Amino acid sequence: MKAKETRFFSAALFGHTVKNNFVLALVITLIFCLFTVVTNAASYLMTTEKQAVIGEAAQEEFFRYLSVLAACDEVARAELSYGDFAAAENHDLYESVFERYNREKPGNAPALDADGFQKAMAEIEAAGASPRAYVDAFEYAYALRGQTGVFSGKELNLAGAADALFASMGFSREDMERLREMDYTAMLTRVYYTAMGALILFLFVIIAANTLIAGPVDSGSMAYFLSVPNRRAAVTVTQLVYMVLAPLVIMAIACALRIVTTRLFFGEVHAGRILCLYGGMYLLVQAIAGICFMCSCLFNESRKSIAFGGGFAIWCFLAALLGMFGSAELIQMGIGVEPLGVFNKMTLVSLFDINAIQSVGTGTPDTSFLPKLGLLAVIAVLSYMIGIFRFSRKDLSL
Amino acid sequence: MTDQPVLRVDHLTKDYGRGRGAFDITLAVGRGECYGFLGPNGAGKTTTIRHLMGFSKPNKGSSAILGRDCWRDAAILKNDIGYIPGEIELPAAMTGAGFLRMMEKMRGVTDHGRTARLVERFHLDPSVRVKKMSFGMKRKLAIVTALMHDPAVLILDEPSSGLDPMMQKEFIDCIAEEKSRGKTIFLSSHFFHEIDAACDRAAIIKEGHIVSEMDLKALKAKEGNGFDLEKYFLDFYREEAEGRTGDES
Ligand SMILES: Nc1ncnc2c1ncn2[C@@H]1O[C@H](COP(=O)(O)OP(=O)(O)OP(=O)(O)O)[C@@H](O)[C@H]1O
Ligand SMILES: [Mg+2]
Repeated sequence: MKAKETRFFSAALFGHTVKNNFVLALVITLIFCLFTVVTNAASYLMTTEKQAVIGEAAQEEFFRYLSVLAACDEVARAELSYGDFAAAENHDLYESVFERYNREKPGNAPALDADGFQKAMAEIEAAGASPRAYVDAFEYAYALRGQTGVFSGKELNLAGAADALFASMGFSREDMERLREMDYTAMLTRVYYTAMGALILFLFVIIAANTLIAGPVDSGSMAYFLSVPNRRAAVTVTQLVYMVLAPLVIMAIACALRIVTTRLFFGEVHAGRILCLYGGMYLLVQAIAGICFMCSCLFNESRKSIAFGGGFAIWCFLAALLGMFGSAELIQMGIGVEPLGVFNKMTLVSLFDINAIQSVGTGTPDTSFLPKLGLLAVIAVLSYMIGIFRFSRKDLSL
Repeated sequence: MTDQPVLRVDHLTKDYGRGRGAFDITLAVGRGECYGFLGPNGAGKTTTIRHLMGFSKPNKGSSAILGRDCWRDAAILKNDIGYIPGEIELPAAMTGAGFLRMMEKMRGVTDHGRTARLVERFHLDPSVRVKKMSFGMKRKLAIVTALMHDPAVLILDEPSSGLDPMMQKEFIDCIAEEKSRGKTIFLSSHFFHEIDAACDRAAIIKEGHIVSEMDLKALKAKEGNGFDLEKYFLDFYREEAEGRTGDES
């Protein structure tokens, strides 16, 4: 009979592996895609919901007009207001008020007219802010004008009132500024790439790695793959090919979806940056997959393979999650504490530096993420090699 | 049978600790010969076969088939070996037919006629999913898988357990046919009639050691027609057991 043997790759076994894990891969792909779209939609909503603010000069300009209207209302018992002005077709009445003011104003003050008021309003709206909010603020500012504090004797104004109110609620003005500046979308991106999204893929590689080697060895069905002219390496390398390709396909689908939905929601997309993020995430997943695969090759029992490989992966996830609450960004937002930062040193996820990767495509890309990703690749390759090497030499109780 | 033995086990030792395993097993099976391997549960039959299949590496000694070392040349030897495992856990998520097709592909078998004839012969319904198969059906699937590539050597670990009496008879006939076609057979079994009908020689293994090796043909010739193998073996097992309790007391 022909003396043939399969040394490295068995197409028949590969076909079986693909079929055997198809449902798992499909479910993981669907969950991951759903999570991708929802995350992207949420970041879009966050960016649009945020209220913009205008500069001090624009505010001063707007308040100048409002104070003229307010003075006129008080003196002439007129019913002039911002709302009335915005709704009215005919601004003749307002024009005459501004003309009278221009005649009586102190010499150095700028002249006002209806067009200028319109422009000031348009400027606020163009910045994405709401004129209503400034009208409300003006009410208080106008009521306080000329008043002095009964204890301090100092002049009272709106800014002082706001500071006093925040302070009584335990916030400083800086806290409020930070809260307004806080970038929730950056946090969402971090959670997607380094925590929840990664977790979905970790689950896939934990389960798949076990069904590839340790599962069949444990159940005894590996005997069939080895009672044909397959070298042990042919079995491991074939399964490794699956371990390398399956996450690639799943992530490629999600990546395409992310690029398309980003384009849809935001109107523009930096595809290169997204590709880099997914590339980094893929290397992270491969490092975890390598460890899980190695455990699957080392242990003869499913439960041990799952306990060690899966345990490691889950630890990496949990440590990354805890470490996130020790990261500079979250500490600055006031929802993190520094000691938790030590967990960042205890997880492979830290080698996937999304802050640096996100600088890709900006003028000054921070390439410090490259050596870290290289380390992930080395971990993956090494653990795959150890697994294959060990499985070829070990005793199987089939 | 005069030339080099096809299957040779040479002082093979595998110690699983606490006296378990196989110790200093030596045997040889010639071309066209059927060799029976008998012994109580946990005696070390499967352990020996594991080494013949290259699944385990011996602590001491070696085993070879067709002149090739069973551990080192495990993969290439499988071209000439048909194996029925003692435990019949099959890969999940496919039908019997899918499984047979996969095994044919992995063996490079292109002539599907032989597989089809075997399926026919053992009344196997290959359209059933492997997970849903009864014990006996899985056993039949294993038998077809072991014979599909018409191998020169058959290594069978309790191959007919789980088969109904009619299928057991069919299987014994099948083994006899293969033997007459010059195939070498290594058969571990608990069924005396199976050993009786098919084997030329047999060894009895106990607690990892071969305690007796006998030439069944010569024995039958000596004892004449009324020879009862079952009684002979049961007496043998009993004697051994009594001998041991005798030692202990
Ligand atoms: N991988 C292993 N590790 C430790 N001990 C083992 C291992 N495999 C088998 N044994 C022990 O070696 C002894 C021989 O087992 P083996 O499976 O060879 O018996 P057997 O002769 O095939 O029995 P049976 O007739 O029940 O199939 C048993 O005591 C068993 O518990
Ligand atoms: Mg056994």
